[in-house]
Amino acid sequence: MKQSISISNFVIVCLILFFSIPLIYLILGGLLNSPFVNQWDTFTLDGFSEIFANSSLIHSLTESLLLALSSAIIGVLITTLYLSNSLFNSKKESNTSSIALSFPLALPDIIWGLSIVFLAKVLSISLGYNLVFLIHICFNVVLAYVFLKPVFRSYPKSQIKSSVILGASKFETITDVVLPNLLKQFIVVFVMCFLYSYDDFLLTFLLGGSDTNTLPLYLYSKLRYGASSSIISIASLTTIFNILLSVIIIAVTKKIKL
Amino acid sequence: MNRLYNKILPILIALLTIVPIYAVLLVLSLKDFSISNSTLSYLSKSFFLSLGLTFISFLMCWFILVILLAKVRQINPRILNLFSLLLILTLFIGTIPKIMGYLGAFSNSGLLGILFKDTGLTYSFLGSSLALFYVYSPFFFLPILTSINNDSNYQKSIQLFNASSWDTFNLNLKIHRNTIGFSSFLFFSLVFMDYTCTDLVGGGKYDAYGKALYRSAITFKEPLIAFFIGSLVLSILLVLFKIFRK
Repeated sequence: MKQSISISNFVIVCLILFFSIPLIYLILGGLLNSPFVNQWDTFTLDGFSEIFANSSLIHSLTESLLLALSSAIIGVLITTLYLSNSLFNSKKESNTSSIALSFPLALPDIIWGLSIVFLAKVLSISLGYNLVFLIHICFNVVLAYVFLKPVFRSYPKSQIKSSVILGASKFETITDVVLPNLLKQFIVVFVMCFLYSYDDFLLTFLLGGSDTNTLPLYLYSKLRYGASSSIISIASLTTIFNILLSVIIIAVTKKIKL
Repeated sequence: MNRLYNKILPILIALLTIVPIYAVLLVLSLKDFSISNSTLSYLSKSFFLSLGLTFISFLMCWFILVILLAKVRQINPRILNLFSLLLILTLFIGTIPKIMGYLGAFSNSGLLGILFKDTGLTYSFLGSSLALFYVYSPFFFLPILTSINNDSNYQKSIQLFNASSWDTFNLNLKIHRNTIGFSSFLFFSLVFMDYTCTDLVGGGKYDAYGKALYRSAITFKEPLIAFFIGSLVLSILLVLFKIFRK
């Protein structure tokens, strides 16, 4: 019995080490300003200041942040409007609509991206930032739908009825009753959409054309020629940023049942 | 009017996701395209390569899953919570920084390289499988761990009967079969169609199926075969998705 306990715990501890070592490397690499372990010397923030001196890196970072922020806001907003309608409608959502909105989550990015590339060619639509923006909104709608649907489904109908009886319009009910009650869930879903969009590589790579240069594209192109100190610094900064956002999500979801 | 409003968003999303795949296939099939044998053999080679990579990383996931399901009541809850937390953290970190971390930690000149001279965990077949496991396994484990945590009363009752590890495994497998099925499907779909991870960790030596589809469609300009196989995979995924959605 004792042996079996130690074996199962040992396997999980090994997994914890396996998952944490790369994260530790990324954070330490940024703080010690070198991707090579044998060059790690003293803690310094020089690597992070180098990022701001690199204009193309800053351009990629801003483009990524803007794309992720705007597509996440629009995606969550569209999904909220769609799902809010179901609060006033007693009829159940059709199975086809549900599949159409949730299946793209399981759709391989490569097949999706390539099909859009060819369709754009056939319809003479140029690839570029606008197309990337549209597709990012699309997958943010899907992601928000998958996570917000159970939240809206379990929302107490009595609150909606009371609000309508008291004379509130549909819009007022959503903005004054539903949204304040579901604010934490919206924050969590928004952060998830933002992170997914911010980290997307393949769809942006396929659809971006020559005028799109997000951070994952920049990292990918530089990583093929070997890691440098500026690359490890930005990867480290991104990792710390993502970990902080994940901690926010965990803290919020511990208080709510998503 | 209300019904129409409810249909607009699903139609728009379908127009941007599922419809283009079949529309392009239709457009291309109307034209006369010749498919070279070399592209066909290249695609089939990468198909089996991806199948092999997926199989090994899938095996790793299932090895841990068996231990999890059989010994879940013997695992220290704090250790299990820490594992879940780490999975959530890695889930929210982008693929490319994650691969950078993997390469830095497990390469010969990385953290592990200090301890072992030749780790063999990068630029190799096994290394690529392990990297795929590292990048995509949170999608496999997190839903299952959540499902197990939600069934804490059931786990306690198994403990009361002092069931053997084999019985515990069988019972847990039955209770969580839907979640395990969905997680396996999601993991398979992500790993089999991977592009970035195998490309970077394999050092360009391995053209996984995702990259092969891209190259045959864009570089070799033979989109028909790429779309034919791509749509076939998509149709299988659609059927599996409908099954596991239940």
